[in-house]
Formats: sequence, structure tokens, C-alpha cells
Amino acid sequence: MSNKTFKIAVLIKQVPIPSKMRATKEGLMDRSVASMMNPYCKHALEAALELKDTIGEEKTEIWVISMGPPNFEQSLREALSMGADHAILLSDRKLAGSDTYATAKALGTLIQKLGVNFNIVFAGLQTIDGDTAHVGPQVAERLGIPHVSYVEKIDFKGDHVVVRRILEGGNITYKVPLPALLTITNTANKPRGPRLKYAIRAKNEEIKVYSVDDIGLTAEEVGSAGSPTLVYRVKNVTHDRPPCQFMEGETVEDKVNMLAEKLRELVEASKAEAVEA
Amino acid sequence: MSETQHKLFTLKFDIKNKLGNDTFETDAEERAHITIKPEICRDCPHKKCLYACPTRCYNLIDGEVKFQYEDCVECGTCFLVCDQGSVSWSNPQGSFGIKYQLG
Amino acid sequence: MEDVSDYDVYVIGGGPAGSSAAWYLADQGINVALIDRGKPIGSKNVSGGVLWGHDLKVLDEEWWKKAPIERAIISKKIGLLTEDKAMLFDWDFEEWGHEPYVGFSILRAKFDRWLAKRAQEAGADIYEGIAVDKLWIEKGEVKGIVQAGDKFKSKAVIVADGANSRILINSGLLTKPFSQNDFYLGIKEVLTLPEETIEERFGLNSEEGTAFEFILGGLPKNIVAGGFLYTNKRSLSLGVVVDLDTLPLGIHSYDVFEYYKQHPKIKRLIKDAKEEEYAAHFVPKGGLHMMPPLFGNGYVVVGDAAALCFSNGLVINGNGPAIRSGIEAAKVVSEAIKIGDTSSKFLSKYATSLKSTYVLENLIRFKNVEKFKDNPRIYSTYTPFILNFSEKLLREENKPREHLVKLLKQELKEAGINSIKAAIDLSGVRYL
Repeated sequence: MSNKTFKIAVLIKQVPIPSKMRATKEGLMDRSVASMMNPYCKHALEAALELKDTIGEEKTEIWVISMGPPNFEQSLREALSMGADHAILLSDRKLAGSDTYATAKALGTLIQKLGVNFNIVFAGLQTIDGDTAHVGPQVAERLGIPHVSYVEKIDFKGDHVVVRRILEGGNITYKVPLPALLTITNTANKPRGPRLKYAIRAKNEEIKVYSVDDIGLTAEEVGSAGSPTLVYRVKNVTHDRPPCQFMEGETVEDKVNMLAEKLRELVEASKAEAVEA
Repeated sequence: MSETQHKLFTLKFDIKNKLGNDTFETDAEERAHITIKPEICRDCPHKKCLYACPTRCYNLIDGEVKFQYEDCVECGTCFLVCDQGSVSWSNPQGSFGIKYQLG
Repeated sequence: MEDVSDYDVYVIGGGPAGSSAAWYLADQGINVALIDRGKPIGSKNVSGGVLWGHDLKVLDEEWWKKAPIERAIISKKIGLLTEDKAMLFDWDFEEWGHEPYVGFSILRAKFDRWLAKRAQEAGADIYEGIAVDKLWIEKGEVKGIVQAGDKFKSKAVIVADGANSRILINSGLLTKPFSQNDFYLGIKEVLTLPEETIEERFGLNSEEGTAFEFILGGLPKNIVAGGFLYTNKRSLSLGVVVDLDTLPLGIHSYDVFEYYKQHPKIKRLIKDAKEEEYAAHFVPKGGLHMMPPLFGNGYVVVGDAAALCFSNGLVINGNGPAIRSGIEAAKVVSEAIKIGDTSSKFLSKYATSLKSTYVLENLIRFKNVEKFKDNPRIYSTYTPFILNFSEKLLREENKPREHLVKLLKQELKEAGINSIKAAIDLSGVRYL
């Protein structure tokens, strides 16, 4: 293990599959439904795997790290079967109700506790259940390392990386010294599938589970007690799929013309509405 | 009744409208599981793929056969009807492609 | 990687054949891995939708009480359809309506996931979402499998990757390349309908189902195609099977499906049903002429991959033979592992044992059935003739009726039926 000089951490979260997503009365995400690896985390993992391909498998080591109930093991094993080397789960009832602040505190503390000097930390841009995009940057602050969010391109340059951060209407390229934390967009890459070699290894790999005590925090520092965010009210909103209209026509041109006609009608209608208003 | 009056010829039906009911996990384009060789298709006397494919992944655009991998349900039909050696067919890498919920 | 040997047996493909094999092997205490390219397992799998018989009894006496079956098939209908006419033979068999039943409608994505789960519970390791490249072959001997370029050693491999077996193709094990003569293209749609509506419309009690199969006659350009409709719990499985060889240029395969779906007879049966999922899949014509080797040094081939699918135009059965072949193969492989001989000679016992079952016996007995079943005149000429003739026979008009024989002669002439050719075609019934 000692010759693996380049160490990568990837923060991973498991989320309910979108069609099953709902909040409990207490305003927390219902974790009892079917779930999957958060798609953005998969892109973060792919970024790590691509970096591993660049630097060389024999020199690189990927740790996937998650915080959540024991069934998050599913996503960690999936990550292992895609090519990650080690998996760590922080799991404790005391963590229930953690907001992004408490989550980042717990994850940051865990990473420090692991005693691995990570050269780079990847996280997904955001999760599809919380959508805050807070955790990655807050973990970086905890670790005292620079971070760049919305990253879609990474060039590894040895002691630093050159990354492209997307913005509305453009992008910025940064030169970032390592270690650093990057949050990855879904445009960055196309995650690979599992590989049998890794899947067999993943089956037997022990996933190390840490408790809040293990990382030296107290119940007051994490979970709802340690979370400054208060949930005021939760409302489940459901709506039917909007009526979908298909463009019909013999040729592509006919369909495009019909679409253009429809759009024109809509524009006219909204103009008329604006005038009335 | 002449054959060409058969209802089969008068159907106005676009299969693409149906594919929204199916679940796909689409892989990156550079990892497309099927590729064709346009130069072979150009001289193909029958272009049966245009008709045999049950999801119309093959289309004639400006006289050229174009293949679109995203809607493929991996049945293998194009591989069989192509006797010109244009279609190279493989399964998508694991977990990608069509995901039947019912089957 | 070459020395790694994590499993005694790799089963490639988690359909009825592969999962049954893995289940049996795990029951025998064999260290077995079941690998499927779908995630979840079963998500690439499609069939018309009926599992006939009780081949699974070997694994679980009461499998059908635990499996996610849709409905027990208690009646069968076989019909002829032309553009504007339909004729239906309708059988009700009292004995089909009782436990343990003779067949069940199933939806494969659900059913296959359950079957794989049973294999897993028995002790098999399941790998989902992993596509195996090919068999690892050295000097004519299968040493294991290759995935993403990595080699995995095993004592035996069971090839169960279905009709379009890329494993056999990539491993160079086909006796001859597949051709469009070897498969039908199955196109299917699942249409949802409330449970009560299904039971009311088809005259069924709860848990009971029925199966329709049609000859699609009078299609232009001699297209050979059949249709089916099976009742599920809350949906219908509607589909066509098209002989790709006869599909003419200018007609899309899915047009044949849509034409069938819009037939007045079918339209009434599927009224108000909502489109849920569209699928297309190969159906091996089955039979000895397209069969790959069933066994070799270190491997056996089962299910659709081995073209062990039976159809004579009256019954079509792929799921049953798949399960049975999976189990028969697993029996031999398990014995082979225990005595340490997975040579071609020993594994040939699998072919021998298949011959003693209906699976191979049917294919041998009915080896010429396609001469009748795929005879285009059945579809293009005789079906329209029968329907036109019977329509005239049954119609009451305010004019004198013709005698049966005269009407028959007239209609034969009109349909352009050559009596000698017809006699030869009809004699093809002996293949059934």
C-alpha cells in the first residue's frame, strides 16, 4: 500500500431513486425507499478513476467515503466494483437530521481521523435529493484546502491541477495547488460501468464503518442538535406529467414546421396575456 | 384488392413516439455499442436495416444511412439483416442501454 | 490475473436458463457466480409472456406459489386474422383451471429478478451490470471467461446469454454464422388495464388468465407473421413475431405490430389499455439446423443461446426449455466438478440427458415443422381463403344460398389456389 503515493478521496451519497423521492413528516428525506448512488457522485468517482488511469493504477489509491444509514453500503460497493480501492462509511443514529453544516463537520472530521493525506478530494456538484451543493465546499473549508466547484475538466500537472469551472454563459480556468477539493458537474464525463475484476474484489472487501464516537465528535455536534438549519415546514408537491404533444408529419420538415407553428402560437398567446395584464 | 392498398401501407405511425415509455441508460457516444461503415452503406443495394430495426435507429438522411445508438433495444436485428458487413455489433458495456421494467 | 480462480463455475446470463442453472449448482454446494449485463438483473430480458409447465419443480416443488407470476393460463385461443376478418378457435379445458396449473403469464423483468434472487439465496454470487466479453479458450479448451480484457479461471462455464449470443459469436463457437433465417423478430408492448376490466373482458376469475395466438394472414408481399396476446394481472402482453427473412423493403417491422394492434378484433380486446412499455427481442426459430454445439471442453450452452426454443405454430415455448436445459446442464456440470472431469466427453452427458427430455426430443421429432409453419402460402393464401369462404358461408342474405361444395369451388378459384400445390402444402401438416 505504501507505494501508492497518490491518494484520492471521493465523497459519495446514496439518494432515493427520483420517482420514489418523498419527505417524511419531520422534513427529512425518506430513506426507506429504493435508492441509488447520487448521479453527481458517480461523475465525481469517474473523475477520480480517470485520474487514476492518468497517473497509473499502481501509484494511485481511491477511497470512497460516505455518511448515512447502513444501506449506503450498496453505493460504496458499486463504487468499489467500478474501481475504487477502499470504502468508508460513517454511520450512526446520532447523525440523523444533520444539515449540510453538520454533515461537512462530520465528514471533514472523519477524513482527518483516517490519517490519510489525500492529494485530492472529489465530490459531486450536488445531490439530487438535497440540491444544496454545500457539502463539498464546506468539507474543503474544514480540511483547510482550496476548492473549486462546478468543475467539468481536469488536467493533472503533478503538484497542481488545471481545472475548468463552468459558469452561466462561459467558463473560468483555474490553476489549483494540491491538495484541493473539486466538485464535479454531470457534463464532466460519462461514468464507466462495473468491471468483474473489481466487482469480485468488492464482494469480499470489508467496508469500514465508523461511529460518531470513533471520530471523536459528540451527539451535540452532529445530527439535528449540531445543525443550525431548522426545517420550518415541508410540503410534498406532486403533479401529473404535463400534457405532451407530439409533432406529426410525413417528413422531418413537416414536424419542424408544425413545431415552429406551435411555438409561434405560444409566443403570440403570451404576448397577448402580457398586454392584458 | 391490390397489395399496395393493404392497410400496412397506409399506417401513419412513428415508432419514436412510443420509445418514451422505455427506460434507457445511455452511454457516451464514443462508447456506442454499434457502429456502421457509411461507405459500405452507400453502396448497399437494399438498406434493409432502415425497415427491419424495430426502433428505427437507422434513417436515411440526405441519401446516407445514419445510425443512432440511443434508442437501440439491443435486439440484434440490424446485425442479421446487414449482409454487407457494415454493422459491427456488440453489447453495450454492463448496465447501460435498455432497461426493461416489465420485459 | 491468470491464476485467480474465484469460482468453480461461471454462468453467463441471468435469464430462466442461467438462473436455474446457478440455483441448482448453488444447491449442490458448487461455488458459482451468475453474471448478467443487465442492471438490475432481468432488465434486458423479454419474452412473449407465458411460462408453460413446471420445469422449476426440480428446484422448488411449489415455485409458482412464490414466483411473481401474473395469471394462471386456463384457456387458449388460436385465431386467423386478415385485414378485415377474424376467426377464433377457443378452447376451455377444465383441468387447466386447477392447481398446479399448466402455464402462467409472466413479465420477465420481474420474474427473472426473482429467479436470480433464489439462486443467490441458495448461495450463488450475483454480478449485475457486467457484460462478459467471451470465453477464455486455449487449445480448444474453455479455461474460464474474459471480462473487460481480464481473464477469470474456472472449471466450467455455462453459456446462457440468450438468443443473440454474443458470447458464442465472440468466442467463435457458432457452427455457422447466424442468419436472418434463424430468428423471428418479436415485437411486444405491455398495455395496462385495470384488473377488473381484464377479468370482465376476457371472462376470467381473479388469478386466471388466457392466451391468444394468431396467424396474420393476407399480409402483402407474403410476410410471415404471427400475433399474440396474453393477460397479465394488470396488463396485457400484446405482440407480433415477424419472420425477418420475409419482411419486405418499404415496410417497417413495427408497422406489422401496429397493423396488428389496429386490427378491429385486437382493438376491441385492448380497448382503453394504456401503453406501458415497448420491447423487441429475437425469438430463435429453434431447431437442429441452427443449434450451436451444446457442450465442449469446459463449457455447456443452454436456453435460447442453444436455440432450445420450440414452436410448431400451435404452441411456442422458450421459457420452459430454457429452465429445463439450465437444470439438465447444471446436473451434469455439478457431477463433473465433483469428480473433477469437465472434458467434452463427460459434458456430452448433458446432450444425452436433454435428448431424454421433451426439450431436445421435440426439436428432433419436429425438425421439419418449419416446412409447414413458415410456408408463406399459409399466411398469404390459405388464411384469407378460409376467412372469405367462411364469411360467405355464414352470411345470411335475402337471396338463395349456394351449396357448400359449389361455394368452396368458387372461392378456391377466386383465391387462385392450385389444388395440387394445396395438397402438397396440406400434407405438411404431418410435420406438426
